[in-house]
Amino acid sequence: MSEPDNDNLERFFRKAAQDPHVVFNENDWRKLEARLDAKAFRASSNRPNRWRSGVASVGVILFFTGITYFLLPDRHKSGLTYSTKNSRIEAIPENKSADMVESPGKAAPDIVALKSNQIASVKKNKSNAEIKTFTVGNATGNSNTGNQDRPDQRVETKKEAGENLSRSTPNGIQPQDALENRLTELKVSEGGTGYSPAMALTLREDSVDRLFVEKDKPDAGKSEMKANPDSVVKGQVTPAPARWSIVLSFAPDFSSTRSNQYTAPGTAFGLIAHYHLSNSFSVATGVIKSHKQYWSYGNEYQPPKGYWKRNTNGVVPESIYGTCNVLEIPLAVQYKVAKMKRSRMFITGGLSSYIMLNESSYFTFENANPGSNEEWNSSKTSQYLFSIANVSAAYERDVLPNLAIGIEPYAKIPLTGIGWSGIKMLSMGASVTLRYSFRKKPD
Amino acid sequence: MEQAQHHIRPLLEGCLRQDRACQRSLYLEFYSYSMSICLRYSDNRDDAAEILNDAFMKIFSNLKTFDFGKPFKPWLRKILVNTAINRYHQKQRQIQTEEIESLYNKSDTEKTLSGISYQEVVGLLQNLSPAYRTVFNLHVIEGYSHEEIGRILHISTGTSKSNLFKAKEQLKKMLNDFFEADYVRTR
Repeated sequence: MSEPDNDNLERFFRKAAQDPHVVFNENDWRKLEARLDAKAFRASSNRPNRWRSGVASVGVILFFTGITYFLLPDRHKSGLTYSTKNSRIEAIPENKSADMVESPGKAAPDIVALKSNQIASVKKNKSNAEIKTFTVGNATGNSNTGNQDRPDQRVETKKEAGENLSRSTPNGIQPQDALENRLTELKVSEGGTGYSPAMALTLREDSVDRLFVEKDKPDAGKSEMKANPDSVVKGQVTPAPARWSIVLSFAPDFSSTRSNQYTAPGTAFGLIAHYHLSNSFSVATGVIKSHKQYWSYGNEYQPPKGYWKRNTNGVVPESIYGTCNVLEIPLAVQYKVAKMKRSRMFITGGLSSYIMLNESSYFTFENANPGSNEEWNSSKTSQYLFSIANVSAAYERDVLPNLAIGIEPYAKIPLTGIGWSGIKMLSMGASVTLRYSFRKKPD
Repeated sequence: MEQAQHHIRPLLEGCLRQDRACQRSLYLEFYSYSMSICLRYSDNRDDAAEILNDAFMKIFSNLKTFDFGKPFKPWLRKILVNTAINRYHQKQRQIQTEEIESLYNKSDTEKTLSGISYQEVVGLLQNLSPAYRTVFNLHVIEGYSHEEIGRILHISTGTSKSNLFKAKEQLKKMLNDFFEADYVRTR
């Protein structure tokens, strides 16, 4: 090609390129707008610091407020122990001797006289109407949520129990504070000495209404009064707890492939059944439906071989924002580490199986990657048996005889990769729980 | 130029605030200009639209780095060209060398035209292989030297010159198919 030809050719194309007029295509703008929307959505989702600090602050405030409220002595009961119009239950501090609380004779009519109609189920195997076995409710009005209080908190007594109890009156002493703390320790010693070293107890007439009389024991000749401090609430007879309880939970769920990168939280709703093996241990299983949102680096994904080459021009995304819905089936053991008057603390450990219901991923590339897929979706279910380890700690507080609310911070640690991309997803959160405890039917 | 810059300044400021209406207005304002550049670097219109949108995504994301005291159009052009070159690199990773031989066979363009429009010129360019087309655009239209092109495209200066020569040869043949053989010479 000659030099003039070259010059002409270049001039021709330069001139052609000078004054172009390309007709606007609305579809081009729509595509760009969709990308802008997606970017804005991702930007709004990827604000870990704001979310984390906000949720953490609220969590800390709630936690300490709750601890302060629940653990401080009950102010409304600090002056006088459980009391109704005609009844009182009073306790004497441990350091008070029985003599100090010996009531005047006047008190006798008021005090325990176990009426025959009130103890209908009490078997009298002797003419002197020996009291057999009682389950005494919690005079503090505490409820029992089933997993914490077993009928092993008993007070044994003989028929003198009534007399012994009746001998105690306040007599100017202020025993109320001690009652709530001591009632569960109540032991009315056998032999009519009347008082445990720990406390003295006065049961007024209508307090007897709260007595739950257990069925006869084979050793009927020996009276035994069982005091279940949580079994009676405000005059109602509350049966002993059964071995089952169910827990409804809700949690904001923070998921990520790394512990320091979280997006806006997902959600987790669950229904868990507990079977109480003993006073301290229970096994739990159920189902938790979670919507998880997470952020990860592209190189943490392990999609099927050749996926990036086929779908993203071979470019591994810089970051991936993902969402998924999973059903979680936990199998866990819960251990009660502490028990307070109306509350308790647990630790839980176990394994969870995941059923992936659907998942979506949105890719972000470091540089423009035209022609690449920008997202991936799947509704294909897949199962991952015992792929997640669960650990949690819980605090629970009674609100009704059968009902307790609680908070349970948890961490779910991946043991295997899950989902299409095989990511190892770490989840953390704090469940708000509502526990319903089943009760044995009274005999 | 200053008047034009003054005219688009509110649009740019709106884009900084992620105002969607301003973003659309800016897009419309420079659509024709931008698309004309993208078309010259792409195989077809769809590819050109993707380059265009990639470039505008970068513009909207990085507008805060733009010096408002300087004209916008050169900045836009630079981003467009860089985006097109990025795409060229990505394509190069995918496309095997055999495509270079096969592409020329596709140039069975219309031959009944009495004149030639911009779209037709672009059509001719799009019939070139990406390697030839990119060198031709960078050298002839954008005015880059072969040394610069070599650095941009990660090729040697000799390869750049060779590609330019082959691009011109192919374009001349294609033009000859459109016009009489001496049309180019007489312009």
